[in-house]
Amino acid sequence: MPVAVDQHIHRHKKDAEGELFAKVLKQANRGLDGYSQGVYLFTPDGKLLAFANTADAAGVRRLTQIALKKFEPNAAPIKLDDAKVAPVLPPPPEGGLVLDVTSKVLGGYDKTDKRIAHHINSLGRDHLWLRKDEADALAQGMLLDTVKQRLVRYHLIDNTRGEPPMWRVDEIKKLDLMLKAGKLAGSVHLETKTGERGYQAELLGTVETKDGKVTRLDLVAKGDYWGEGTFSRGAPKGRFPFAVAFSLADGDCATSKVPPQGARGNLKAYLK
Amino acid sequence: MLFEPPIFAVAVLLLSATSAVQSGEPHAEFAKLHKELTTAKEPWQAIPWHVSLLEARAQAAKENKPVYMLCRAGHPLGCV
Repeated sequence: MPVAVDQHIHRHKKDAEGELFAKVLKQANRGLDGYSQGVYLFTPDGKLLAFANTADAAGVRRLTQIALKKFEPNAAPIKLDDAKVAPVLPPPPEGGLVLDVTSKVLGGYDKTDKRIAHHINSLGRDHLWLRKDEADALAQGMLLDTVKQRLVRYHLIDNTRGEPPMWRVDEIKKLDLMLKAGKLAGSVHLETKTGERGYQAELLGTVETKDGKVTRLDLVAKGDYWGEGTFSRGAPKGRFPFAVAFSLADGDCATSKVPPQGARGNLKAYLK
Repeated sequence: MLFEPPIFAVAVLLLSATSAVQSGEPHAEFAKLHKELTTAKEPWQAIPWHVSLLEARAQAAKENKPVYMLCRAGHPLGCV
């Protein structure tokens, strides 16, 4: 039964969800205050069957085989508390919009370097959340400043190799994005004070509405990125082409339920 | 049909082939890029992931299966 969790979220949970997480980690000699990334297979009553920190397909297959050998499918069924499970993740704003965000480095990697081969076609995925008032304004042909700021600060980031730093307000050197007659167009210049990381891009897109609702929101940012973050090392040298695409999410898809990375730990600030 | 050239660009096309190309190219390029990125599917997306351990465990117990937990820094379905 597959379940995906963010260690940062689960290690802070003090309820039954957090207790089960801690119980499984402990058996793998992992604590709640350290590095807990990996694949864990365990029985419904929480007994660890196998663990490894691997993302490699062959490694995962081996691990699964080890776990299945230990698993007893005919063991007596466990009795679980039928209490309603509290939501693990915060829901998107009621009446707002959820957009899928996909990013990609379009070139610049050294293709002869096998250590970074897996980065070449890597996609970054995230979600952009809009409040109801922002969605309503969009449906009326208005792009609020809060949307522009959120879009560039938390989503024009190179998240293709790991968790990247977000942009601070004072790192927005230029933000010119307009919505006119259903067309989005503009440009942006983001850069840290030291100049070691930045993004200069053009943006183009389309917004369509029907009966006062946004029915389509397609947007692409494309330009030159440079630099990397502590947890997103391995960027191409110098400036490299980088793009981010936005589109309305399929609300029924499990992956669309995951909050924006930039909202982690501070949803209120993200939605400000 | 993403980023259709605006009507005025069509008019420009009739008047000046050179300027029409300049107006149309970015739209076509951005539309192609948008399609490439937003339709890119990866095998992990076909997996019926849970986001709650308790829900996954309850379902595993019902189906007599083990739980497979993928834990990352940053949500794995985010996905960075």
